[in-house]
Amino acid sequence: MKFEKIKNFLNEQKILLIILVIGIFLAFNSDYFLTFTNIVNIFQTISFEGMIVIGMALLIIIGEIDLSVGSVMAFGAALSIIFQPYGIFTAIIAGISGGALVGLINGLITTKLKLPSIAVTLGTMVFISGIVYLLTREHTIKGTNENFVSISQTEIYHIPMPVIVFTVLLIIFEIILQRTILGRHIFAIGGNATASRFFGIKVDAVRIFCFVITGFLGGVAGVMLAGKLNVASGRIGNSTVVFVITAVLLGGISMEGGEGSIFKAFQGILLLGIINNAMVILKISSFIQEMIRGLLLILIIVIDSINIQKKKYL
Amino acid sequence: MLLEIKNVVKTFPGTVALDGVDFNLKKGEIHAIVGENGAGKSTLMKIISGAYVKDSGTIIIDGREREIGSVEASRALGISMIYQELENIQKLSVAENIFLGKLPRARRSVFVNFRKLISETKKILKEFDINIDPRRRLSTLTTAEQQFIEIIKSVTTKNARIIIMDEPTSSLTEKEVEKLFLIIKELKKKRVSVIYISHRLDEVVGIADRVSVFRDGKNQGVIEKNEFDTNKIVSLMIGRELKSTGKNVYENKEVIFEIKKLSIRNKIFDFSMKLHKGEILGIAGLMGSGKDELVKSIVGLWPAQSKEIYFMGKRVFIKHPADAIKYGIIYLPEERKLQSLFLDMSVCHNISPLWLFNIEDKFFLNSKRETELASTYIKKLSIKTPSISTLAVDLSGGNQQKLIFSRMLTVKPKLMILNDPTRGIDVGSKEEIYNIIKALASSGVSILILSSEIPEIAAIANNVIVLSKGETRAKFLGDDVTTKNIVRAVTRA
Amino acid sequence: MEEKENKLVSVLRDQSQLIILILLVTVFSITTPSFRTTGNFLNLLKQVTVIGVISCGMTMVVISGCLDLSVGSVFSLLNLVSITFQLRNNFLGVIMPLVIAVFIGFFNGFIVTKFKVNSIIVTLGSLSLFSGIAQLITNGAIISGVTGTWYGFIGRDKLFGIPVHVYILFIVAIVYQIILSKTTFGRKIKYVGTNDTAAEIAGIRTNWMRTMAFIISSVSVAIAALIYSSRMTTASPVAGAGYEFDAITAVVIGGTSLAGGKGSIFKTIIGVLLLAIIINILTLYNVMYSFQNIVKGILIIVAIIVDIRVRRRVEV
Repeated sequence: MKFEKIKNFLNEQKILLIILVIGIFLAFNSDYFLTFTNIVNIFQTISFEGMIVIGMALLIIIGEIDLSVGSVMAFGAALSIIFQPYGIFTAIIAGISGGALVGLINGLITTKLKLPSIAVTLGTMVFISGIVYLLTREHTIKGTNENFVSISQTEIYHIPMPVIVFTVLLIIFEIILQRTILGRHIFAIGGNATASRFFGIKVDAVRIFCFVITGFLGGVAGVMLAGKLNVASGRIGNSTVVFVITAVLLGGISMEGGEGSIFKAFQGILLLGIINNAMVILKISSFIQEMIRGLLLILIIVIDSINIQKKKYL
Repeated sequence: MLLEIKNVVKTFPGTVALDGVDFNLKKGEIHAIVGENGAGKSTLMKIISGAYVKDSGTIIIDGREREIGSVEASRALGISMIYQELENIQKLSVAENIFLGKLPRARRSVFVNFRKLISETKKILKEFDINIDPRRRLSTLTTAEQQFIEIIKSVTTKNARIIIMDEPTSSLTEKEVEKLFLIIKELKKKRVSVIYISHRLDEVVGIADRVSVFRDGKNQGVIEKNEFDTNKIVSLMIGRELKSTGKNVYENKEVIFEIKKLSIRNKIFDFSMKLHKGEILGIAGLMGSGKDELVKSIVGLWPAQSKEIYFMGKRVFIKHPADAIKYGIIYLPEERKLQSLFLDMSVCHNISPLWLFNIEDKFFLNSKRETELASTYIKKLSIKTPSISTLAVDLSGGNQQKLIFSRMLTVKPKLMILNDPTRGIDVGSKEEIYNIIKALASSGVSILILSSEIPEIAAIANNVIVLSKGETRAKFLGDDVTTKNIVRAVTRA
Repeated sequence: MEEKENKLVSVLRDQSQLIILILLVTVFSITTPSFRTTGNFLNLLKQVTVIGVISCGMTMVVISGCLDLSVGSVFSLLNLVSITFQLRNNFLGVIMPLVIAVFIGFFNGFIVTKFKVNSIIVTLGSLSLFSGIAQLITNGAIISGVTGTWYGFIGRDKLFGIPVHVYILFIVAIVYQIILSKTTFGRKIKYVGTNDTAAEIAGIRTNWMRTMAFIISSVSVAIAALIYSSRMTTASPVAGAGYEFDAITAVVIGGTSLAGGKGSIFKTIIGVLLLAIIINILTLYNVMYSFQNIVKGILIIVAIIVDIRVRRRVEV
């Protein structure tokens, strides 16, 4: 009996286990891996796109998807650079609201016009990338206010701001998802939208909320990313979509929708972050890294699909 | 009297579903409705629950006349309907399913009061003597338990007064049925009325206070508890036999199709059958009997754990419908809009696929031959269509089905497996299709026909197999194929 | 009389893209002198042929009910493959891209059909995969100094006044259209795109059909890459970046439905021309490159909104 319980527990935590295994492997192969600097580095790197993973997790749980997240992040970054002459605070607000606005557009078109979110966000992805190129005049733009970097370069107890913001967001949204009525409605709609509507849940409103949040988080990520070096360009966010979707799936959240958690999404991000770190430590070229990212997405979505198909013939 | 239905009429293009139905329901009563498929039970329930709107007639609830224009309106009146295909959320807990849309708040905030959620759920489960942990995921429950939870969900609505159950016991074991009845009796104690729709007369007689028998869109009679008599009920259900112009006699005893052993996990257990040339064999069974999965697996559309099929004396291995078609075995799916028709394509293109890939089988298309083919069959089967290039979506249900029949006939099949061929079709077209089937049989084509409309099977089939819960429950040959016999066999729990 | 009018209206609606195209060309030929020049026209054609061939392949995939987002990076990759092999053997330079394209198409199609995964996400993954491979080959650099290839005549020469590569687009378009509308194979693809369940039951091996569509798409990309490499003297590992959206936009504004089952190569060509002309006009008016993406994005969304069939397919 106990053996069963242990087996179940291990199965539930398999991602954490994989992270542990890779971590141990790296620790043995590199003196550098377990240093404080490197760990912080890993978290710093994953923080930006990690914020977006939170939103994508919500969307996938509710049964939607957003391909425009990379462009939105670039959009937020660009806005925060452009609005700096009006003050740092304004710049930050501009970037974040820009992201949220795109999210709102995605949400409205998908729900009110009853279109598949994957197709709509494909369109907005292209559209917003164009806007970003326009705003940055196809260059890398630099902000006017050097103090802007304080938002990303400040450290509290040697932990950089982005990591803190990321952690706070993780906690806030996990609480929202698991403990609030809205969060439970997200699960309900993802599980069975017809039944949810039947029993009075405002399906459209909740969906739009998830899109807006994803846009908002994209904006935040973009602002913080711009804050690293006070620059922004149209090349930001090019590989974000692949990273984010892979992270959500790796964490164990199924494309089928209806279940998951921010904690699971975090595991996925962390795993991906460690894999990236491993590739850097092992001095794997960035091109091979891109290949591996593509393969990983394909692999993980195939596994997810196989699981979904298995359930059909029970 | 809680609910009174007077002279309600509902028609669909080509059919009169309800022909002036009367029905009433007392407070705290368990009232069963029995009747054949197509008798009007589901239609009336859909009207009461707000899914359909009646054409005419009156609905009186608590003495006031009401118009039930939507599902929300029906809910607001305290009416809930529990469908055979449960509308629940598998991945959520029992508690969250019961309180779907009405999760208890923590101190007027946005947070869920989980403690209250669990305790309230425990409370109500206890009232019905159901021993299930509220935190369990709904998908881990058996179908029966999920059904019970569904019932409880209906009861927790503020003014739950009427609960409609449509075939609640179709996938339940005897013990689970007993439990269901206890729950229903508890509902009665709470003065909640139950409308109980079922084919299973023995059960109905055991639980209901009154029974209404529907046939041909009318309520043929209400029987009180103390007057219950299965025979009486059955005869009210059946009325006249379908006007059949005599059955085919198939003399050829040649067995062309045989299943020696077919097993599908959880659905079919060790099935076997024989089919002769020119024979029409009907398979009857309720939902959950496994008949759908059975025929799907024959043509390779559903995985089977073991499958031994012989065609024309030789063992055949069918992994994909294309394999079956090569042998001359053609399958007609039950949902033509989703599974057979190419709605956005022309009538011509809907008739030709099988012919194109198996008979014509050329690299280049020949539109002249194709249109000739289509015209031939349009004439042969009297398909009413403005032109050969009309889109399939614009045809009536009966004509759409005839399109699919034409498609099958273009390749001169040897065995046709028809899954509910006259579903959702007007009476006139039904007759035409019966005649087509009979003509085919007399020309030597073997037919396997599935239907939940028993009079239909009785009128057309030479022999009938009755399936229940994955096993053969009864076999009727020749003269024993009567509606009465089949209904009896099917309704025995 | 009334019947004739209704026919006219429906023809107009069907060919609205063609009408818009003719209008645009007429209006801008009059208003913008630089539009009318031969130089501009030839320039336009160069873009049209490459994207056009890719879009023809994409049309097949879309009609079968899928999308292929990998075409851009596969283009970059096959371009490099062609150049790399040419330095050794001219013949291989032409054959290898085609052969590799078949494998790539099979890879995409196999994963999408065998595991029943969304084609957008799978091809998003293969986009990264092949982009990485391309960049790996050149180590991120642009290969230059590729001297005129023996098949450079495709890119440089003219036959009866029309550039050779235009003939290639023409041939590809006609062959594909014939396959689509006049062969059993093409009909099967249409059935699959219209209702894959019904197609399966009718005995069509839908998985194989879709895989073939993906193979056709990749092979089209190979042909486009050959046209491209025939006139370039440098090769960049990201040459095709963004082409996937050009192709999808062209297909979609041409009037082929994203829902699958309907469409034609002819419509796609009109879409390609429309897109190319819009972009050309923007360039002539010195509107920035960034607007191209903005316009493409809007066009994609508008086309989806207008396409009722896509909306019919979406549930709750």
